[in-house]
Amino acid sequence: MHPGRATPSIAPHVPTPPDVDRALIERLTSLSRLFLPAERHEALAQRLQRIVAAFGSLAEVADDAERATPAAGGPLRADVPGPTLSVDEVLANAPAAAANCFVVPRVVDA
Amino acid sequence: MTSPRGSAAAMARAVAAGHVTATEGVRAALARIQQHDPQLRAFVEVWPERALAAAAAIDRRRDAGEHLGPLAGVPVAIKDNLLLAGERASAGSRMLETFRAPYTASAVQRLLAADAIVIGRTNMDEFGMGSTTETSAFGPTRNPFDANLVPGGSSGGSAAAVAADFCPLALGSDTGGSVRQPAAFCGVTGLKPTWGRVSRRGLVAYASSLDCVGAIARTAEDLALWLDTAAGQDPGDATSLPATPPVVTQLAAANDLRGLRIGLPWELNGPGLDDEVAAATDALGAAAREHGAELVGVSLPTVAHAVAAYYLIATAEAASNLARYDGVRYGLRRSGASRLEAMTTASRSAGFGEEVQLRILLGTFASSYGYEAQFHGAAQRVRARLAADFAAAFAHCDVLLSPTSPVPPFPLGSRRDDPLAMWLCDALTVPASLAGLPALSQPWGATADGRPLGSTWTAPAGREDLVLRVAHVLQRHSDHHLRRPLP
Repeated sequence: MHPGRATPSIAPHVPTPPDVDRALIERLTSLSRLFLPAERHEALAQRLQRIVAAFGSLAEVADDAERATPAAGGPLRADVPGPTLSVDEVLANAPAAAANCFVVPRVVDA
Repeated sequence: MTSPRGSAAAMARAVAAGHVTATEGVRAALARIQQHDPQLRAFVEVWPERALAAAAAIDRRRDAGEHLGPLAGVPVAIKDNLLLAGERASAGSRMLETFRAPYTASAVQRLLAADAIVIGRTNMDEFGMGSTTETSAFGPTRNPFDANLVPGGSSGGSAAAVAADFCPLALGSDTGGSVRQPAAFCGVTGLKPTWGRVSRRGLVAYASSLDCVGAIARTAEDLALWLDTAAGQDPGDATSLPATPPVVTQLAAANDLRGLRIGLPWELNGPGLDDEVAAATDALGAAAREHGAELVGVSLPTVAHAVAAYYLIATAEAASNLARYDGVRYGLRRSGASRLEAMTTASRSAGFGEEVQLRILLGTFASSYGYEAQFHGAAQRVRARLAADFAAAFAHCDVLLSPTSPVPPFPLGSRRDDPLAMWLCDALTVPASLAGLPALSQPWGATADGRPLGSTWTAPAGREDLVLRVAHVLQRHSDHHLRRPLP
């Protein structure tokens, strides 16, 4: 810390940023449907920890402000069906398709 | 007159007047791309047959005496995240490497309706997540001023294409600075319109409350020409705004800046800036004053927290938007898994690069139970406060001036290992993104070793005319925007 620089004050109600540990990484990868090889866990945890520590004090900055709300666009179009893609067009980029349907691996047990 | 080095406005006038054919213009552009792009890699793919066929059609219409659009015969590049029916659009990702667009993006449709000729798709950081094009799955683009430097990003391919005179106009997209920063790094002019001004239908989504379609050109006049064709409400995008009066005709009468008040937010013009960057913006402000503008000091007190707020909001929205890549409907699928969830996990892990995965994980964290209030919720409150800061500043001035990037273009590979340090380089562009404001980066000055520098004008929502006017007047009386890196 620079000797002439004041120590930042931390409001008492601001929670301490969490530890980004193995359990949290596993929870996040599971929620995100991402597989992370074990050898990458530590490096990712360190990166996320730095980011979370740097961003964690944001709550003290504007705790009396309202949340931003989405800006309004122009007037909405009439709520009537418009043109859509055909089934063939929709399926053209599908990794696997059959009988006008997407093909996926088993979802439920027989 | 066949050189692609002319402005879009001049090329369209020449084609309409019959001084040059659209075919000649496209051939010249393709030849230049063939000569220089193997080194730069601004394009992921060039469409010569499509472009030449479109040019021939325009020439036939001109010969038949038909009225041509305002961008008649102008070769235009589009960023790899904008759809053109029947062509590939990959958003810089393995996930979409083989994806073919089933329809055309509204912004591209409006280009075509103005008789522009789309010549190819340009390289970008994967899903727009990066500031250098180094996160592209197809390798980085190089800066036309120095092949060892990054071109900026994420619209780095579009900026490099204009800087290299492959085309006078290129579409990009800007979520947190992705048009403005590469424009600055490549010595060209870039416009991020007001959020909602240009339809996002057919733009591959990254962070929907921030994403904007923007454009890069050599001159502000060409950007005004583009905006007049691109802006307006679109039934395909409920967030799009009604059209505003045309800008390009207003520019013809703009000779000076008398009566314009320019605000200098000290938070964006002082601490943490590279000395040469700061000096270039000071020089631009001085030039504006010489042409009649008044400079006033203003403050944006919340801006110090903008990077944190931006990354928490953008990544939370990205985590949601990119959930659609499940290996089922489109995009990469890793086969072999016997269960749906395992297939989805394997496909996403193989299709997304490291930066995208990091941002999805951060966004999932910031918006998940137990952390939402402290992170994403806090970021939304900071966003509201920042918008109030801008409103207060605009009570004292018409436009704001600041550098576009705190640092000049840097060498490829020099910042890849520290995402947080890279993100902090967005500190000067994300405030306008969070507030949804129009902003334009114009080239002004260079480092001692010749790297281009840019500064940004920011205006209240809906006032693109102000940033275009101030840049246009200054470009009428200077040649910074005409500095060309390649013969």
